[in-house]
Amino acid sequence: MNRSCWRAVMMGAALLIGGSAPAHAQNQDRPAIDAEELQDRLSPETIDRLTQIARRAQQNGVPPRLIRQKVMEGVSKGVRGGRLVRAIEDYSRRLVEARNLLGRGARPEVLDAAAQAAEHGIPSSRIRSFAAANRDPRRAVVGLRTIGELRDAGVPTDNAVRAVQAALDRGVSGERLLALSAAVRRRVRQGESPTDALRAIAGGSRPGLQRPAPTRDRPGDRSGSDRPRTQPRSRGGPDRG
Amino acid sequence: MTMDPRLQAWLDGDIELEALPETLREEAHAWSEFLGSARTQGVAGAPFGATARVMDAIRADVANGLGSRAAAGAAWLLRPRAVRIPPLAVAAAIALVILSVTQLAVRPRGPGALDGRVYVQFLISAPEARTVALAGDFNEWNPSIQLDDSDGDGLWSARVALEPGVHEYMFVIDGSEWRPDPNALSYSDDGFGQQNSVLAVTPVDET
Repeated sequence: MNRSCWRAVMMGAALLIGGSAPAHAQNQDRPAIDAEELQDRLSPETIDRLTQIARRAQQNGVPPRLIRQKVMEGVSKGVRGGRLVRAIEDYSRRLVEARNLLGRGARPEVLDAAAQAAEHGIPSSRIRSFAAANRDPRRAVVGLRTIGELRDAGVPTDNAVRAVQAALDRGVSGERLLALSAAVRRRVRQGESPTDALRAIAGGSRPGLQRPAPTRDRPGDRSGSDRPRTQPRSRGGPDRG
Repeated sequence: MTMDPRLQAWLDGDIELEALPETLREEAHAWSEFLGSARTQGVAGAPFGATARVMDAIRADVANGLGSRAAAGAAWLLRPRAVRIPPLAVAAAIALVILSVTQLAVRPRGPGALDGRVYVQFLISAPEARTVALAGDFNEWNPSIQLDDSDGDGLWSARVALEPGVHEYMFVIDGSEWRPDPNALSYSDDGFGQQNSVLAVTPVDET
């Protein structure tokens, strides 16, 4: 192939890659702290300290958008000054630990879930092994969150990990897994031990953790009550969003 | 200087010569002679070959100026030639095309698209509220999604398209009171002393 042809092929390849990659990364590239965006709501000192925290986190491999999300959450909720800085510093520290635990390839949402699991007292080794066994980020996220919540409800870590992994392997939906810790707490309030409560629910004696029947719209099938609740719906027309 | 409209009408054939006043008839005769002479001699054309010479000159100017590169490029593209490509290069090009198409297929869709997203109905009972908004990690915690209670029964709702995955959210009552969803499946400490509601959105094709 002569030089002109090579040039043509390389130009075509560059166009193809250029057309897809930057757009894919668009949302990831927003800065963690946008001083201009925050200047009306935070003092310059607070913005400066948040910027330093975000910079350190990013240098340690934490995706900027995680810090940004938490900052925006705090600001929207009216948290200001030292309280905001301490919360972001704490969150950043946990993310860095999760990043060191799971490595550079970990998705942001998995890092966030791992940081939360660690906060609930799940040992690093269990977090790492669970994430390694669940490469699909959605499985890892909902699993780690549920394990943390179960641990918080008093379930021993090993039991929680086994129950959650078994449920994921059976194809139990994220919604049902998230509801697991609340169900355990309810039974604990009625006098059962956390381990017995988990065994009763996740062991198959209740329909709670069985694979749901395929359906596109499941209004109110999880609550067992007639109270209004937020729920996924089928592809109807949007009111918002 | 303008022509008398009556003379113009005669020239156009709208009126007869006799309809013109005497003062205009002499001028009308002069026009008649002039036009007759023009018809007899014909309209003078360009000298033979002049058109071709002018067009050649224009083409030469274009070729020497801005159009030369484009013309050369077009000629390069259109000239047939034999191309020898190593199989490895062909494989690499195919791999690039597949990679790019795959990336385009999995790229997160914009706000107007629904592909991959699932509608979630948010509901909260708040009879005392004047406004209820929704904020969460899906809108950078900006309470910009207003819930609706058009029938005034105190049950506020909004339907929002969300990416599959786990989401945290809260309701904002009357613009200032942040309230978790009392019927959420799960809750999570927000790090600021409150509890976020947690929702898992399952892809439609996995339900």
